[in-house]
Amino acid sequence: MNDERYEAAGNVLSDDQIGELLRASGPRADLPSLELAAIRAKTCAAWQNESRHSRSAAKRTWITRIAIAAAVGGALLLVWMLRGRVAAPAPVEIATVEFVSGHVTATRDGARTDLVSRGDRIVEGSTITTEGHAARAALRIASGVELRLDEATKATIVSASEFELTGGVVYFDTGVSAGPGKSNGIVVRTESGIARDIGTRFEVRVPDGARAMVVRVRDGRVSVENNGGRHEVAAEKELVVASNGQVTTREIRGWGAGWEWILATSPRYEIEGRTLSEFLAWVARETGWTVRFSDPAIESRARVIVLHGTIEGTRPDEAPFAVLAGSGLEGKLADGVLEVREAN
Amino acid sequence: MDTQSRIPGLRARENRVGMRDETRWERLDEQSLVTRMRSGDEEAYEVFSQHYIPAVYRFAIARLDGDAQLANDIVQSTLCKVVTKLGTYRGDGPLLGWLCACCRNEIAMHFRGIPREVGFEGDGVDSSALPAPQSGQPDALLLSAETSELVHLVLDILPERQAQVLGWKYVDGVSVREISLRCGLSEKATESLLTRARVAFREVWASLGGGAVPARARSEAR
Repeated sequence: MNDERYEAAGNVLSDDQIGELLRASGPRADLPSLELAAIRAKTCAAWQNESRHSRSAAKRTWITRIAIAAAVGGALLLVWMLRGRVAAPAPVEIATVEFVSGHVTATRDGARTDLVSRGDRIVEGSTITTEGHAARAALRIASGVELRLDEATKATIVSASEFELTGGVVYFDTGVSAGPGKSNGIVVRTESGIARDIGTRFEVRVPDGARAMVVRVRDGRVSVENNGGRHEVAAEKELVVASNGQVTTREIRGWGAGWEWILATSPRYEIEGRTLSEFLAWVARETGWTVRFSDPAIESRARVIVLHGTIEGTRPDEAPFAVLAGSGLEGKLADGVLEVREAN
Repeated sequence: MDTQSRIPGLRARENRVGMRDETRWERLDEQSLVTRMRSGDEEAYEVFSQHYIPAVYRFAIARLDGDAQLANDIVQSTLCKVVTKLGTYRGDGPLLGWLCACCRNEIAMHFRGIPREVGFEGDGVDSSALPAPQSGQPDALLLSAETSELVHLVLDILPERQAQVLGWKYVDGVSVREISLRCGLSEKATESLLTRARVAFREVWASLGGGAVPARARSEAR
């Protein structure tokens, strides 16, 4: 490239002017890598969801055109063939399996399907049941929301935003936040009440055999309605609606043993090509830990360290120690804070 | 610099001067970038993610008094809407201008508390959302926060490698020889990298509405 042509142009910056602008503007403030990584991850989820939707729509449009063309030639025959029959609308695919262990089934209109592997699709109106020991699942709803089901859970996906929990435990990570102070529109109905999200990550539990409901919020807020009353549950709080309708709240931690089953249902995370910052943001999201860097220089390094390989088979609370070691760093965990520092 | 991991199947690579890859630098055809994103092209999304998201974040946090939490929420909300409305970007203005306009609307909606969609429709581009460089006011050049912000947004959009060498050369006053050592390049290759970086800076600056700096400003800057 020849810079001379720019200097000759008159209305564009010369090399000297570029230098002057840069000097006058001073250094750029560093942007917070973890926050940016989280924004990237959520934007990516929204983009992927939109892309899937667009491709499906395009495919549907193409199929529709073919169908119309065919109809022009054989309309009468088709009408004759279909007379007296009203085809039921095709079921809408509403979710995809991201993780499954043990015996998990999807039932709709009496037809039962075993969910056996990542990528299995689930149609709207399906009731998901996790049966037996260690049967758990993580589903990606078409809206981008992630739904996880613990052992012995029965939940119906009424629509992309409405769920019915008959028993067991479900956890929602809405991933794509609707923005500050706004609801993502997730509604979970139980016999004891209705939980509506005003945030991003929460759990709803219907204890076995009890007409009760427990809502635990890890991040953001959830609104719970029961018996005409409305209660807001903030982050790191638990609300219990007892069988007699009494409502109590208490503080909980957003990390630790209480969220163990979430770690066991974590969908596979591909580290290949991701930065260490992005990976740590995922770890923080899954575990509830706070990630801190012992030194700003290490935080800067984390933004440019690109990971390769796989962490398949390791849980989100195990993986960072291996990955950090591979990056010449180490992690020290204490009271839900993962401190990232130079390896000794 | 490659750092082999200490566990099987895992290795980490640290790029000395940044992670954004020059070879994927496609800002010059933003309409094409958007079209590819709409068709589900992951590489196009990666370019968008690496080059534009930091700039939008910087734009937001400058307008939110440094409130990082609010900036997170607003940028996230803006971008999640943007990626579903890419079809409304017509390509007759800078993509960053459009993104900043969307972000500015989202900020306005937040403070107004009006629970409705931001206006992604309309002509699709609003370069006025971008900070305006005060090239016609030399006295203000050194003090203009908007000019500085635009310079920093341009650097955000550039490949990180180019942005970093420009910073070393002109902000930190590092010699070409020292930059070449930091980059692990020959001095000739470093000069070439700096030239490419200036060309890219110039093009992005112009596309975002920046103009030439008046002579008087140049002399004052010195």
